[in-house]
Amino acid sequence: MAFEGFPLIVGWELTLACNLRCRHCASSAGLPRDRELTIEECLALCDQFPALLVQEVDFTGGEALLKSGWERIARRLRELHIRTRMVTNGVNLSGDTIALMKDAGLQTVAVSLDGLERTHDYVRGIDGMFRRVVAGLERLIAAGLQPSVITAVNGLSVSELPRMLDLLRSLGVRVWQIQHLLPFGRSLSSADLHVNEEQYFEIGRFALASAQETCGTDLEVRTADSCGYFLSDLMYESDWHGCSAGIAGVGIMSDGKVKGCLSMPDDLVEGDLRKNDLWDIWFRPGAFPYTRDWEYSRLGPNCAGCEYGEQCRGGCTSMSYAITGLTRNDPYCFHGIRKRQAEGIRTRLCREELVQIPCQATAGL
Amino acid sequence: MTYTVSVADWILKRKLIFYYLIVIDPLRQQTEINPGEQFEAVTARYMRAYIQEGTMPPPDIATAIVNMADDLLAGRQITVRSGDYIAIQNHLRKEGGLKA
Repeated sequence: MAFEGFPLIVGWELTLACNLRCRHCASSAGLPRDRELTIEECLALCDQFPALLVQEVDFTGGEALLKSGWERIARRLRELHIRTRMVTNGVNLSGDTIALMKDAGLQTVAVSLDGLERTHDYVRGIDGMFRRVVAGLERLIAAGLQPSVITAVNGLSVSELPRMLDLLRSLGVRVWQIQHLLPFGRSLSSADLHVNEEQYFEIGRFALASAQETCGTDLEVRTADSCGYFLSDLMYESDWHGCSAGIAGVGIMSDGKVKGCLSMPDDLVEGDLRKNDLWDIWFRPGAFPYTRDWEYSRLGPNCAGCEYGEQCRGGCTSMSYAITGLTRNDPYCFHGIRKRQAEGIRTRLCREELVQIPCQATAGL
Repeated sequence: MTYTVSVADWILKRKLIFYYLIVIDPLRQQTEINPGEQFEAVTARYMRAYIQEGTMPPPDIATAIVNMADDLLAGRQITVRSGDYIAIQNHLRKEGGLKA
């Protein structure tokens, strides 16, 4: 049967330009890409979305606010009845910017906060960024534009999560998305930020406990789809049914290249919007094979034989491919780690070091 | 004219939280869209021919047109299944150079 999905959610990297050089940045953002799409090209691209049943567009970067004319894109999408959201580093959340966000119809502004003050500023490489982000969050809330917070938990911030929860609750943040540091891009040279197995489990335990604790309250805690599933006693996201890249979502890079998800490495590019329109790229026979051509037998060695394999389909494609070079083989899996440990095998969760070494099974993990 | 396009369950039941992209609102299973005059004209022409003259539509969109005609004849609001919608769009693009 021909593929019948749609890119209901579009992740759109408006620019790779960024005003920060964060140590952990998986995109290695900083300078814009060569030949980024012009505003006119972006507006024309918006007009392709309704036929593809796009329901939501999430602007990212780089720093999305550095895309000159981003508000024109947001307004165009609003005219097309498509929801828009933006992920920002929170550095430029002035009153004027927030007013522009509201006027352009952004429904959510997600702000990155990657630890308490010392850790956040260390990751950013500039002192004062934490306080600036917190002030920006306060301005967003005061303006009636509810922010979400995204935290890429690193090796330094794992222990800070409980205090971050208190902080975000006191600020009035409505949603906190927790994920672990992606061990690729610029973070490859920051080993101190990498998350080891024990820390990964700590993130899972915290996410589960805080999600249960905050259930029904004003602050919702959730994990990204690269984290937080696969294990019955840690898996509160039980309805996760595998990576959505190329099934129900798509990533558009600032130069018009198309991927299943923006977090994927560039060698998983599926097409170029300067050569084909999104419909042709999306429905090209053979496109997005890592999620569309599913067979249990294609699970990678980390997942082969797993009783959850049919449901999770090998986890996060980006994480799996970036670290292991294989899709359907995500090593960041609570269940998989515990299973390997029971067999006396420990997995180092770091790219280029993904090796399995004998170890004592660790009780409690 | 707007059409209701229905997306398959197996797609929507996936948890749609993309990496660092926060999703709060649930996705809609059925989307009302206005696919444009060409879509409307072609589907209306083939439905009319099928209903009034018993003429089968081109093979690549026959199922889609018959399904839509069934809705019409039964007095239901026309709901276009995702596969049918894709088939019609592809037909239009092939025939008339329609761009999404």
